[in-house]
Amino acid sequence: MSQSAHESIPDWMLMAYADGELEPHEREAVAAYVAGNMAAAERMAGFQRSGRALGRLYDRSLREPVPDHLVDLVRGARLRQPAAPDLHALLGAPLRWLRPMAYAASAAVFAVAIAGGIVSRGGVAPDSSHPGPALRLALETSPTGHQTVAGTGSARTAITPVLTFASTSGHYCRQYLVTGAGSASMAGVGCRLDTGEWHIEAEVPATGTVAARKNGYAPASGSAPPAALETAIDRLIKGDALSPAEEARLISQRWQR
Amino acid sequence: MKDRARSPVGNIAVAAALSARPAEDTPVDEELQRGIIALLPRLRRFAHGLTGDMDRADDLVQETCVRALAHAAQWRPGTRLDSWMYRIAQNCWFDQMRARKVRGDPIDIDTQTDLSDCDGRDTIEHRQSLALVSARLSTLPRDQQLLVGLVCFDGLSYKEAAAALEIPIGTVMSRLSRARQALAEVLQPSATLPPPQTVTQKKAGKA
Repeated sequence: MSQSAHESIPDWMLMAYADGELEPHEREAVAAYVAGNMAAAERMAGFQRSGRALGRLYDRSLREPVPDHLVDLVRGARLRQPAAPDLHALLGAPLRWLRPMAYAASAAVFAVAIAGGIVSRGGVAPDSSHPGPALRLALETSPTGHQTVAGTGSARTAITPVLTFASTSGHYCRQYLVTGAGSASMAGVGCRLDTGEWHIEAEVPATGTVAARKNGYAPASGSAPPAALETAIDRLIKGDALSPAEEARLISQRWQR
Repeated sequence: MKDRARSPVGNIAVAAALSARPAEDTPVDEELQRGIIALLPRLRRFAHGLTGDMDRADDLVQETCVRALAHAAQWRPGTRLDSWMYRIAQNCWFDQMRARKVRGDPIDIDTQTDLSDCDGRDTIEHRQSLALVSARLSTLPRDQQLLVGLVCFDGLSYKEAAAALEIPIGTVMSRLSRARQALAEVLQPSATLPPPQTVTQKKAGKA
């Protein structure tokens, strides 16, 4: 237990013994040393507890299957081959043309295509309120607060679900924020239909939330959606927003109760 | 805002989304895509180690994948994907911890871990061990965290870990032993831990 004896076999060697990384003749020397030295034996025990035994604490994450949304996220990445369509070219106008608009009570959507330059709304189908694939994927799989990036260059957009709630009609709905590579940001709310499709109930320029950036942090009021969106959410929402745990469960179950 | 309960995460989401700088976006090689998918189980375990909580681990893995895909050009095909992804996970986790600190949220992982979330497979002691280890692991230098992930979680040999991190094997051993001493302090002998492979004098005396 003396200091000099302790130093004669360095810690890394005790660890290597515990990890089975030593040659047989080294093992013998270490074993003999540890047998006569209680302090070294304790250190050895510490290395054993913190070795592969430690890794076994986390085996649950290996036993359980990887959640589909994680696999889908990677699988949905843009591969090298096809060039992404340019959002501006598709729109024929820069995003910042979107000026603040009063929310229409009919919950009609704007003829605007958002989400990663992978556009399926807007000019393509004027009466449609279907999200593009990137927005749909984000609504389907991203936890609240997590940003998904789609598109490239000037068409790059980031989509972040902000709130998840159950609607009075028995669907799940999510408020989201889309920020473009330019200055435009859009806030919207979409609901998941029985068919598994997401339906955009409302979408407005996120003018109210941009101020939050100046403070670096959004206070509770800073994340309040624009009044028009608030109206839509109040019309839809049943009870309170879902907790992160409820939301995580729904995402993992593909929104089935 | 009526009296509706809003997830506090929403605020962060808005702030984060608005302040996010567009990162360079690159198309992803199929090899990288396949590699990441194959790595997901191990990445989840590493994230589990950092966060101490499965739900938070999956959140971290998601953010890690998003960031990795956005910076796909920085990955050199043929190099180690695991250490590259682990480093990204570390950066994401560091950013999350820092954001919490700025917001004044409690950092203490132990209090954040929802012990009521036991599903029968995890004992309370087990979850407490996870929380303690994660809290201690979070304070270690990142190179030491990586080594714990590669050697203790993934079971790489010292030699393999040295190759993965492109450092000498002696550096592996000195860094890893420092990390392991720190972790051993919080890992007291307990029935929740699998028995060590080698019976030491001390253990033998107890048995």
